[in-house]
Amino acid sequence: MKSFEYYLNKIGEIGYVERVTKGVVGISGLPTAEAEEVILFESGQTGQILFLHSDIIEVLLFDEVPVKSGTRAVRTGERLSIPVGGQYLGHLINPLCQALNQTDPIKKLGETRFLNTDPPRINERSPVLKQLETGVILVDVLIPLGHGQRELIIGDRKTGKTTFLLHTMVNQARMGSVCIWAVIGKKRSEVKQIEEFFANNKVLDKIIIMASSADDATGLIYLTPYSAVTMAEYFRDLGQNVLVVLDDLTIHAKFYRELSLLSERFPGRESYPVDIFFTHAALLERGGNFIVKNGTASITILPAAEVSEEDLSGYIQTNLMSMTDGHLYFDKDSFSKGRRPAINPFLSVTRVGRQTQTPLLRELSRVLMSFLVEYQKVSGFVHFGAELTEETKRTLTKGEKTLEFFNLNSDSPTPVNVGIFLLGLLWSDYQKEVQKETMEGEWRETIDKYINDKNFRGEIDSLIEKSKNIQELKEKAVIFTDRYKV
Amino acid sequence: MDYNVFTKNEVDLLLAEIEDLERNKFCPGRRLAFSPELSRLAQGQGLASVKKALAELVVLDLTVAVKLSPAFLAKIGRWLREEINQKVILDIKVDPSIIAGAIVSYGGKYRDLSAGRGLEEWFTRESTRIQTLINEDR
Repeated sequence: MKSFEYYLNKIGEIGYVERVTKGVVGISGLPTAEAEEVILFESGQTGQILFLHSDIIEVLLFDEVPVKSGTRAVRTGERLSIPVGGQYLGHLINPLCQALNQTDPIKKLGETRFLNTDPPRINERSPVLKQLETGVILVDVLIPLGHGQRELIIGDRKTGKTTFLLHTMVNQARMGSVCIWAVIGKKRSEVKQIEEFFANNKVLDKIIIMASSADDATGLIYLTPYSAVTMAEYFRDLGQNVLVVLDDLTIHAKFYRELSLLSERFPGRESYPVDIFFTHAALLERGGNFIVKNGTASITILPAAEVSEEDLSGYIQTNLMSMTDGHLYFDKDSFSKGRRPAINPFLSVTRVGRQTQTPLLRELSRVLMSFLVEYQKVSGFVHFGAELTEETKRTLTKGEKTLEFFNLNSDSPTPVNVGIFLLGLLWSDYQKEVQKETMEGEWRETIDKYINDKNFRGEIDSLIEKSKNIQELKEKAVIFTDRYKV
Repeated sequence: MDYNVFTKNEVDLLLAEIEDLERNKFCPGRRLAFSPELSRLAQGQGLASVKKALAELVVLDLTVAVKLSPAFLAKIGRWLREEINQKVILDIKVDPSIIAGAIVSYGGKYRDLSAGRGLEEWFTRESTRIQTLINEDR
């Protein structure tokens, strides 16, 4: 950005700061200023035009240092843009793409892109057809996600949403996707923990962490998800699949509400501005599966949202549900029962994920879901101390083992094929006499072997590929286990 | 209303005087003293109308290199009222670094018509020639 005097003489317009509130500055003058234009203050701060009133211009300040009343301001004639590029991979940056680690400088800029762009139109989009493996078997089988899907991750505080997102990102980074984690207005310590998690899993070089902390300027926090998606669009145009995590949009909505109220805009429901739906919808609409030069590339967006006391009917939460392609609901009850991840499959939805599954996986998902409904019903009776039939006991044991299996991979990702294989084996009743605790060890061994033994992995992959339905899967899994004695 | 005030400073003084008068008008035993300019303006109308009219005046910022005499300021002020806007007043700032000329800003528009700016542009334009001249001398 050039100097204040340069813009003053080039554009020939001047404004004066009339009022200053936290993060928003009111300016008089600048007669031909345009919406979203970048404003430069005499004291060095920058901002972006948020609202244009007839007598005053509201400017969103990007600096923590407040502007003084009477300070001169100039238009720059430019819309807000950020530098983008692969040089940011492995770095912790703020929404303006400045390094947050002083010891970790980033090589100088390349391309720059506008922050607010129109979402691609329907003719530039392609159907979501490729499954996005999260490494969490419960999700990959029961509530599958696809590359280009926008899936809301919703739940109470401390129900494992972030842990699920971290594991998904690690798995996707290992599978070659470019990953962007946007931390919106959280504590600095949380940002550090996220960075350390990725570094410990040796995937940091494939991830960009774009963070704004709660003590940053409100303007900067507001920009975070937009910057993350802008960066994702750069990699998409290079033909790469991108996974973006927005953690979280309820906090973003609160900061936007603060800005709007400070700007004296008329408040709507729960004091949120009337355009809050548009604000989030326009952002999430930038995700999807797109047609690019050499085929297709996707931007998968996983926005997180927090609910209070399991109330899913909040304003922002229902808005987000209606603008995403489904949601994974993290249940407080499931969490307290020890389920990890604490996803409630009955209250979770995936709208485009199922079309990415193979017929076998779709059948398995259907069978499992109806079994879990039955298990839930049956386990309700047990509380009454009723006498149980053999059939009921079998359902309970199988149900417990299935849930234990879903609990298995809370600390490391499980490839989907080995998950299908083990579920087939579990469904075949081959190990029905084996205790739950013993099975857990066997499952772990199989998963480790699948990850480390190339031949074993190849055989399981071909077994899954050749199985046309569950019956075939069960038979083949039993024969295979007999042969290998895993 | 015929204003004999041309600068923002004068208007601010008048407004301060009106505020002071308004504050003290109900104090017992206190005599209200009007300045000649205010008493002239307030003739035939209330202080409130004068205050309203003064608040409606628009400001033209003028940055000059030297302090201007009141007579010269009045001359500029009158010219502005006749040629541009009846309700304009001047906000004069002195900045010797502009050398000569003036910087004018009005209604958010800004024009640097100073000699300082001209000199800067001249130097940028002629820097190559100056450099050549120095190099020739070596």
